[in-house]
Amino acid sequence: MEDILFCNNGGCSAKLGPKALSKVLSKLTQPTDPMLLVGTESSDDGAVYKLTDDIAIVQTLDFFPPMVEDPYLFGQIAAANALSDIYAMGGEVKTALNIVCFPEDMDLNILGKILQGGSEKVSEAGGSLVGGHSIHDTSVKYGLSVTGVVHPDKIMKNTGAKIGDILILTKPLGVGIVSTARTMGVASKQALDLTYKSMSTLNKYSSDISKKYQVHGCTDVTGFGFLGHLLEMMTDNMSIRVKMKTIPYIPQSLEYSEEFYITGAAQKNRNFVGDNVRFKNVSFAQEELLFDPQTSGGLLIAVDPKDAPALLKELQQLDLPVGIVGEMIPRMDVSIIVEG
Amino acid sequence: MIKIDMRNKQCPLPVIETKKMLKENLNQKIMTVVDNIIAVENLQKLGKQMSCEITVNEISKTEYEVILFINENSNDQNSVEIKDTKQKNKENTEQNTIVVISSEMMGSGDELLGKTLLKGYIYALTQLDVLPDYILLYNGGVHLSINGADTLQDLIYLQANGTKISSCGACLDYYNQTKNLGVGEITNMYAIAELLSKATRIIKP
Repeated sequence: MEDILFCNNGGCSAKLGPKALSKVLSKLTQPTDPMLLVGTESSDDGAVYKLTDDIAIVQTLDFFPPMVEDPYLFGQIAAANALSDIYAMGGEVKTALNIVCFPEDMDLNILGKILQGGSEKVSEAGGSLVGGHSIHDTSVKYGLSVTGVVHPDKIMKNTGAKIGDILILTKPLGVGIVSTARTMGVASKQALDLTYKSMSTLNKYSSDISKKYQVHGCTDVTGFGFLGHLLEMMTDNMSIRVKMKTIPYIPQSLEYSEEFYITGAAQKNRNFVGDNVRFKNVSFAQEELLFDPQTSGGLLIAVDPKDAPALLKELQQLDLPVGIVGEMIPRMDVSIIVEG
Repeated sequence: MIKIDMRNKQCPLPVIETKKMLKENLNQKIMTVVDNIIAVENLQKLGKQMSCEITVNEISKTEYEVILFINENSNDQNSVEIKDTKQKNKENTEQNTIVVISSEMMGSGDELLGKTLLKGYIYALTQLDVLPDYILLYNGGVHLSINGADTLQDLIYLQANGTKISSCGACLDYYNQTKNLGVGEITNMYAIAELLSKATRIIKP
């Protein structure tokens, strides 16, 4: 089997920058259907449309070029990443469709492996893979269009967090940096193992656990990095105090970040967040980690402080680094304050 | 000057190559040519981290020259200057600003809200350019300076940066928390009265 056509800027770092994107999107006509509960007005993860008082559908799609060489693993990661948006909205996965770009002259066995990885993740999510669309293209891209359901009263919006809430991140940061280090041939096996495990793990499990607790807001951390997605959770009357010490990350990623194995996408994220963040005793390498684009990153959950210890404890059973990343406080001068 | 052409190279290659060149050629200027502004910004970050002098020339929207040079003398002078101004700022400020915390709540109203607000206020103090000289805690206020209080870390930070923290001894005793004092000193009513009467500014949130 020939090698998969490998893209340097695969995964979620292939996303268009948030700054450029919001400029274009703001020019489109906004939908007005009153049954549309979550649409384009916020930066939420998926659209939610109310069908009845008890049921709403959640729609999302995601696809990108490979960030790993193994096609089966790539299929798993791309699917886990696409399915994640349903969980970030508090929903369950029902159906999924494949989105495929594949070169005509490439070995079809590679495509088979990608689709197998994707299909297994959809089954694991409890969903049905019901078809798809493929076009030939110069490079490989894969992902899913996913439909889920949610009770209209139980939608997890980005901005539901309250002052006093504790924020928990369910996967380690740094997968973008480790992937970049890998393209330069310096990533250790240990770092890669944790990175692959993290990216291919469904957010279903952490979402299922969180539903037992008083969770006020949720999003998933992907291309815009930890701080980019965190900013989407903030409202005008609150700020967040982020504690660097308890943020989960892939241990080696900090070292790679110090060596400047960083992406252009992280710099775009830095520009997007701009003055909304203030760092205090945070090293450059740590800052980069917080801007690092994540492929299939974890859920960022805002939970009532009374429930935080129990939720954290239960999430720790899932066998990936998790941690309390911060606390919502009354509004300060900026939205996000990160302390070393 | 050494010139390297990093146009059409994906991040992080321009930064990695430039870093290598800087390390290998200690007393030389390194000019890196790149084709996009994001690569320029990443090179500027590298320059900042390596304490370089940085010059950027925009030739066109698709061609930029970034010149980095490690000037070994400039660094020390900068840090000395910063220290000097900090010293002066300290001398010019009032010496007797006292923050008085007399309950567990900020304002009256809902208890939970009051506690959250007060916690936010103590944290906000840590962010000020000029910290208060004293924080005086009495009655319910002493709950903020005991072990396990969610305000303790911020009070410890303030103390480490020059703010004197004093908790009313009678109050700690009343709440049976004397053993649990986590920061600052225990004070008495005489000292409290003296301190308050000498204050140039009393802040009661």
